[in-house]
Amino acid sequence: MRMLNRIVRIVALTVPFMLAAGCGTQPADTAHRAAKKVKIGFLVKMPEEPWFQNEWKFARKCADKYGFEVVTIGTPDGGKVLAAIDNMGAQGAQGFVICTPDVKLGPAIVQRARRNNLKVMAVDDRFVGSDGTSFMTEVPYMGISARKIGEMVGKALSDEMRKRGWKAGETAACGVTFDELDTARQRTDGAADVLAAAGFPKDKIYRVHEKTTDVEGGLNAANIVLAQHPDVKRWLVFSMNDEGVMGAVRALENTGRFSAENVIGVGIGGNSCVVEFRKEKPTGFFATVLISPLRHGFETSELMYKWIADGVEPPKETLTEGILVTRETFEKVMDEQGLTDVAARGKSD
Amino acid sequence: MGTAFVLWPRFVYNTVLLVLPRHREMDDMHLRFAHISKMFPGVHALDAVSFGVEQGSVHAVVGENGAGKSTLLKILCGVYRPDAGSIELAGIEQRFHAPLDAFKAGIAVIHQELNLVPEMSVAENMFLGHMPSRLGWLDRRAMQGAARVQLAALEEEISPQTKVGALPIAQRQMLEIAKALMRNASVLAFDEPTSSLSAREVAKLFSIIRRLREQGKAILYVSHRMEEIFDLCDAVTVLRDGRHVETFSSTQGLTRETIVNRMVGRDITDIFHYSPRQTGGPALELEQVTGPGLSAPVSLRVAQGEILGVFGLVGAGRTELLKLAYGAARKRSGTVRVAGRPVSITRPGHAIRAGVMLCPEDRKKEGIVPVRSVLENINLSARRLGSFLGCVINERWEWRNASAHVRQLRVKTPSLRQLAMNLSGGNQQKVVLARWLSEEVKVILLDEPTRGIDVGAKSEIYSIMYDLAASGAGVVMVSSDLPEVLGVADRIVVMRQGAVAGELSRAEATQEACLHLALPRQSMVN
Amino acid sequence: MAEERVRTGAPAFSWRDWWDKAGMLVVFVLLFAGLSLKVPNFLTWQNMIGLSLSVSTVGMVACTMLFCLASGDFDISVESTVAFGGVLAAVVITSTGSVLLGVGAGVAAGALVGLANGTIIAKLGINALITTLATMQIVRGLCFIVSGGSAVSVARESFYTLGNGTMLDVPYPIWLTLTSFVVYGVILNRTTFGRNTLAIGGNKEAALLAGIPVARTKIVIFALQGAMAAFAGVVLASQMTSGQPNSSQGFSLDVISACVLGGVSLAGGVGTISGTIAGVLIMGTVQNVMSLQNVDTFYQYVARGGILLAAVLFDQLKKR
Repeated sequence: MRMLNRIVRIVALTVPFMLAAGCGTQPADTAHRAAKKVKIGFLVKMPEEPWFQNEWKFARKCADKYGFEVVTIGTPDGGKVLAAIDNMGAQGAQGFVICTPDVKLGPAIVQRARRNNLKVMAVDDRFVGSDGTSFMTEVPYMGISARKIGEMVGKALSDEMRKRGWKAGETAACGVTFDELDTARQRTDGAADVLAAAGFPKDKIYRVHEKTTDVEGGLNAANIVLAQHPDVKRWLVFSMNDEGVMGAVRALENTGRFSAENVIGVGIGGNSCVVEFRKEKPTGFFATVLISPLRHGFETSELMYKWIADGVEPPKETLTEGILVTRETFEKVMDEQGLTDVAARGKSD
Repeated sequence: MGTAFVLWPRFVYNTVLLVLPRHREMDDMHLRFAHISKMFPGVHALDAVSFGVEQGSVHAVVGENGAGKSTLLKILCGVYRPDAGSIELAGIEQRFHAPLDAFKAGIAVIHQELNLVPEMSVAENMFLGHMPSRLGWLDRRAMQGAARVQLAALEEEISPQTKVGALPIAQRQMLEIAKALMRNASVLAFDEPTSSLSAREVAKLFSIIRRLREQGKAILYVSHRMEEIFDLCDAVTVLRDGRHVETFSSTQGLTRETIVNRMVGRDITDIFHYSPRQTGGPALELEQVTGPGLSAPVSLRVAQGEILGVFGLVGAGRTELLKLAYGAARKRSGTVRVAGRPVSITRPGHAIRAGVMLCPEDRKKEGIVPVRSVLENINLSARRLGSFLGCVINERWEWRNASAHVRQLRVKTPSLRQLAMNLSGGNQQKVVLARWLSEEVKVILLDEPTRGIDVGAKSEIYSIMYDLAASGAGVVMVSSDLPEVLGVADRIVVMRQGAVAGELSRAEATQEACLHLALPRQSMVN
Repeated sequence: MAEERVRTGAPAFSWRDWWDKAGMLVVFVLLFAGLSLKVPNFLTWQNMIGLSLSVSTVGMVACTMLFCLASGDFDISVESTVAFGGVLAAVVITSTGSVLLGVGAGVAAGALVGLANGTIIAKLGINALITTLATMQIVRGLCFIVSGGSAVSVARESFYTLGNGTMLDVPYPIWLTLTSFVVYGVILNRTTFGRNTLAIGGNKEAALLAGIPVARTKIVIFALQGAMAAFAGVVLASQMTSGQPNSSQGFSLDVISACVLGGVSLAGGVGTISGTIAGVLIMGTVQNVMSLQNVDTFYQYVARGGILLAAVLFDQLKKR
């Protein structure tokens, strides 16, 4: 019994060492060589979301092509961002691309990156300065041309509505918004403005705020609007991404009164909605403005690499555009865009 | 086929072995402890203890605190495993890996802290661990029927559905015995069973134990009470400091002095050593105090240098009175005066500052801090006296204070850094006392200070009390041990059902007089 | 009859005692040495700073959590107080322009939260877990209300020095954490308040009857904890140059894990500052190494839980 006790104690003590041994497989001298190799970090605010998963995938493709190492880290809050930046500094990285969990962290991120001698590039969400409102234009940024894409959504909605011959009297529009994020606000504002300009009655455009930008957030938000306006017979739905629209469509379906005939939803993204398009019967989710994680993942990494290796600074602002795709056209278009494997999701063979 | 062919001689050999009578060493002892040793950090709890218990006998085990009695019982019921030696039942060596093994071997130990589940019913407790079931469903009727039969055999009228928590201690003890009998236990061990029982309940318990003896059970009886041992037991084993001293195989002609002598290694005739004391002005005066636990206003006086004994039965309100005087319970009305001056005591802190100290009844729950060292426990309250500005502790002072008192009270501990929970009960009590000796004591309230303590230590505690009185403090001692109260106190106050029943001077006090005052009016004395 | 085995005068030295106090630190040192040899980039000045920074917030709050746990209580509201301290400071600085006022307001608010916790738990006798669970929610809500729903940027540069300034090349947060360790270590070991805390946790009844002001001590502990947490939150906000209302989710369990790893008993009455330091450092080091090796986040969770379990098991065996 005593012997067993002693043995267990010694084993428990050595667990940390075994962990360490398991972790560190590289002998110490390659650290020198590793420092010379180009290492680029890619930090995203919601690593579980498919959009960011795809960005990472394309970043890795870029890394393979150019022969550098990409370090992917999920940073859901400010504290973790700072720790990740320190970590990359310690690892000997030279720069990183980040979609920040909060745009107001901009100055802190820039400062910490400077302290660790790291180059910074922002993707998707643009840094906001310490005054809280103006953009930090000195940091290279790639994002979608939010306003234009929002306008595309609005146009797609009004076009389809006209095609189906819906009358404005019995139709309402539900906009699931997330206004604290500037790029999201621009999208939904763009859609709403175009709708209004096309003649849709302004007071019939109901905006509702979602707490989170996932499907659940959209569903909960839409339920509120539905409860407030139970007699609307036909709905147009728009949001700042696919998930918001999908959530709203789910909410509509759950009432039992709505389906593809009386709902037109247009999202932004082109990733999560593939599942919708692959469903046997068409749903209220009509179309989406495809934006490219390829550019956001691959190109940003490429720009960063060129900055590090060749000293070529990336443009301060790069806005990417979207392509409208529907159930019928998505496969072909995504193929052309190099997103075949994304389009293949949910395909039953 | 081939294997069966090869194995058949083995088969035959085993069968023959089963059939032949076992050759056993003739041992008339049903239960035998053989060279049992057990060590704890820094302490040799048991050292090669050997003795035997016959079938159909009541065998007493006596010894001072720290002698090893509780450890022996814990080994018997399988809670501890001996470091060396073994237990033999009917000549066969037993290896218990868990209490369940002892249980199955037919050993039942009835501890001071009874092993019952208060929230469950009597029947459920009796069948704990082996509830009867039919097709997977609990067979309540069978359970209750069997329980009723067993309880009737013990002459107890308890409904099997009663919640154990609602039963008084005496009946819970009977329940434990019933539990043991249900499993056909052949060995029963009792650990201080009478400390919370009334005289009538003790008589009942003894008659049951005698009946068990007639049934052939081997019974171990651990107790401090000499009268009980001479009344009930057939044989006595004395332990001292973890070693076996002597086993008397018969109580015929055995005297109390002999046993005490073996227990302490020296002769003690009169443990009280009373001598009349000088008393001075009033030390503590309680006037018309009312509060929780008291049914009528209580007035009490203790003079400086006086020892006041407070006697009464369980539930008389003595502990509650002390707590009220100390500020540990909220007083509803009445005044408290220390050295003639009224003081407002609403928290123990106030009492301590006024010079009033309390040694609580339950040392484990209210006395020591188990996970802290002896050093810290002794200095718990007094450290502020030695500290700088009342804030920063003075380790030297604390060390010296603690060492002095450990020596003075003869506390058995390997070092001051020993955790309080590793000390035996008696030594823990001494530590609590030491805590108060570190202060300037004007009044000390002692609640059952010698309960569960051996004779040698008792006498030491009495002499401390005498010293305190001699230095001018007023001593109040609550005790259920009538000989002790009569032996030690200058005056005796008897409480009954939450009020003072009467006061007796030392000359007036006799056992009968005290009991007469203490017993409730609707007396149940046979 | 009783042998005189106790010496008088100065306290005697005992190896067992020393191991009890410093054992965990020794384990940490060995772990550290092993990792320095095997993991590349670990033993660099840059990484050491990064490691120390990452444990600075947990370290500061662990000092007071040690007291809280040692006195037999529990406090999971610290995560919300950390966020609240930062948010309130940011809001006050932005509206009044005074950094001092902002920091003061944040710390004072934290102390108030702690005071509320302490009073409810010590005077009203409500279970600590339930109470702090409730205050955790309430304070988190206050974070969002005060901040207006989103993060609050601070424009004043002078605020940044608290979190980003350095002395001798070491950032201030690390100095602050070290100071906390020293200060609270002294309080625990050398003051009556510290020893009383341990006594209360060891046996509340006995402490009460010994005249120790139990309720008052507990209230002070919680108030200190609230103030400390808020202060740590202000420092964090300074590093992030903004008050983030949703920061530090799950922080409370990190702090409690570090304390338990360092030998603090959840039942109360047992705890040392050196153990707590070791616990914080071990957790931080393992986290740091896993990040350096780019171990997947989910494996990191498993590893952290595994270490905590191993530590508690080790402690149990020590007692047998």
